[in-house]
Amino acid sequence: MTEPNADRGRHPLLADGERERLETIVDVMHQVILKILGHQRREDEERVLVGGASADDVLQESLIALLGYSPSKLKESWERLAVRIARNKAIDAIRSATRGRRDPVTGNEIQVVPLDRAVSSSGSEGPRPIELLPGGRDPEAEFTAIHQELVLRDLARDHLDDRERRIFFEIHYRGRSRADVGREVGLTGARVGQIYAEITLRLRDLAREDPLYSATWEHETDEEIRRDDT
Amino acid sequence: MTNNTEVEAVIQQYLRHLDGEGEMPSLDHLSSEDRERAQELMDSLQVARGMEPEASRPSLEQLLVDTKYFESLSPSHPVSEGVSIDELREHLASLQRGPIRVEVDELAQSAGVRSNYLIFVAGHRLRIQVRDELSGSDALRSPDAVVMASPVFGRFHDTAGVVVLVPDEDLSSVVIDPFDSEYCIETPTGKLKGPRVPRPVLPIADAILSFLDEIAPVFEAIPRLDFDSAAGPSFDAGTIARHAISVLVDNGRRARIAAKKAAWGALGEREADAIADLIIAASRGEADDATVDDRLRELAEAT
Repeated sequence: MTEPNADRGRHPLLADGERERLETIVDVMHQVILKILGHQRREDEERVLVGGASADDVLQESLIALLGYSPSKLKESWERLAVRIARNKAIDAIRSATRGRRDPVTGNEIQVVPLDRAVSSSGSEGPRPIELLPGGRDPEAEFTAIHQELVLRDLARDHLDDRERRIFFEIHYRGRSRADVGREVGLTGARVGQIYAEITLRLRDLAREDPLYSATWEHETDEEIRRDDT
Repeated sequence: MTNNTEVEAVIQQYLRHLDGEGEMPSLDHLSSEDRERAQELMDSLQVARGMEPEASRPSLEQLLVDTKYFESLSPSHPVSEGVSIDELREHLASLQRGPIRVEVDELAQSAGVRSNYLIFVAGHRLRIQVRDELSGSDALRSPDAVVMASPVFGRFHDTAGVVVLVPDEDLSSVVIDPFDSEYCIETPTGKLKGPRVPRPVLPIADAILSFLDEIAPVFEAIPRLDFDSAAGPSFDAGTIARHAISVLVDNGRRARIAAKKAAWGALGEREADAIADLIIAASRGEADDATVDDRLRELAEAT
């Protein structure tokens, strides 16, 4: 998807015809934030950090920050920028929630660090991370990957029966063990694993036929935008 | 040439590894194409874990309200070019099942679930899918209509029914309930039945009314029988009483319990006359409930 011709005075992502693109961007930002904040709530509650910030609050801040970014300064795709903003806002929220808190064992101030700079706390007097965050993946690649997972999720909703959907969601997204899920659905863990493997291949085959699954995002240069105008 | 069995085996081994029950699977034995597929699936698991597939988020309107961007937001879709909310309200005005509220289903749309409108009626939530792409009302008779509706129930468990409609003159519709999209064991045959459309295609108001009658019937009060107490009943009480007795006698002949067979078989003209007198007395207001009970008991003890 390439940059649209921006309406004068209107953010490109708010231009006519761009609503669906913006919805997709916000969906992905939402999932980025949820992954970082972690699963700390029941389904019917918002994730709330110490201090009151919730995933929805972080999402709102992220979206406003994205729309506040000047298009003339953009050197990457909006999608890539969106993931970077969502990550940073979520990490900021966790840091705000943990500011001033100290490790009860070492007495050191707790810090939040990305996974690829994780520091082992055993025998160390340095800061101990409370949250190991997903890191290292290029934001553009992460946007594509999460978007593809959302397409798979929609395909799962449309094509799987209740039990299959439950197995798929619990293992694929929620990271539960096969045995745990098996106990809930009345099957052995091995059988759950077989069903999951069959489902995931089936959904992948369906996904390949879905144009949304293969969508890519590019940054159109100012020159290309001007050329389209003529 | 792909081999699903091999790839599935690798995935299962990978799951065992993630559960702490085995080593990382080797992909060396796979063809290059299967290796790529298997790696893609394993990478997918790594990305997906931590996501919340059923999380709903605020709509764009809710996120941007009170900001300078709110006014620039283009309207959410689909508000279907074929059916406006006013048109829908007009069609539903004849529903006569109490207050009806119709609104754009922004919650479903923000969750990526296809639902154009949400209706609150008779204490139930119904969701409307406007299917512009269908060629006509005949398409609603296909089980595909059921498949269209099932994702709604998966996401919104409080939805009583999904109304799938085509934007023709009547807004021809079919209502799908949560069980229509499931495989069910049918009684009394015991056969497994797949997704089906069990209801007729009707104009939208009729379709919804019929569905509400099914799930939330409104029972009318039974009209009171008013007799002219001086003249007595306008029907022949004796004929009615004799007919009722003869039915019992016939049933008694087929009874397997000896006492029932004997008791019902013993009923005859004497009982029919006594009951006819009782009907006439009751219709004239000369016998209340307690009197009827007493007389029936006396009749039974005298038999």
